Amino acid sequence: MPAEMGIAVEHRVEVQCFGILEQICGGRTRDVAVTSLPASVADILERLALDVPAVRGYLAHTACAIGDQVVRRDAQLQDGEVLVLLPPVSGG
Amino acid sequence: MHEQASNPTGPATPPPGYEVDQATRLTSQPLELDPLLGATESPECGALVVFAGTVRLHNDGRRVTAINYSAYAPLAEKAMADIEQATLQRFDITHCEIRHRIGDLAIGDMSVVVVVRAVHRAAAFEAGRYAIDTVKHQVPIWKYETYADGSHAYVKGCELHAS
Repeated sequence: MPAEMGIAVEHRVEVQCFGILEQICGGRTRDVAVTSLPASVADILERLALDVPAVRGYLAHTACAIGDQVVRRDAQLQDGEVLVLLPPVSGG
Repeated sequence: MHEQASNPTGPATPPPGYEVDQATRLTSQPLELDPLLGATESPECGALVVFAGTVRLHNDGRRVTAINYSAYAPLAEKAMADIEQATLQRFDITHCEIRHRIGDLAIGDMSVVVVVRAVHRAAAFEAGRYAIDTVKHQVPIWKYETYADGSHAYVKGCELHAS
């Protein structure tokens, strides 16, 4: 049934989780459902937190990247792009 | 204070990071100094500063038995290249090379190497310090430690920010 008839169409966004978030999400890659694309990073994070409530407490300290760019929460994720979650880093 | 979260029942080692053997600055192979020293050799330089970070036996009072580094390779590679360039621009040096290892490391293994060459030592020391400090703050790499009591934890780190 088409979206204009009132039924939301779901799109799947791939989210990659690193560090402690990989442990919390139970794996590095997770699909998150959004109602439309492009979707803001903030919206995708909110959907992820609904799927995995334990993530919510970490999001304030987590950076997000698309490709090799760290992006703001108002950045828009296009169809086919992957959202990468980067909790505080501890290299060295 | 040190670790972000413990998981006594979790796996001893998380899944390995990206396969990055084709990459230049991030590697799953043991770090080697000689190729870096050879590649940066210059008769005009009177100073060579090498910093190497190594895996230590104790961290925050706990005995470490195993350690794993994982990375988001696309951004880690770019961040290390950017730090090299920033260090070259900020200090009066001729070379700055950074390498970081990922995967399972043993106590005593080198996890990171910074090589700086300059005409004079003052700039070389300052640049080396700046480069390794910046790596710790800006490169998406995560350290996962296993302790003697069987528990594990990701080490608490520094937040990344969008520029």
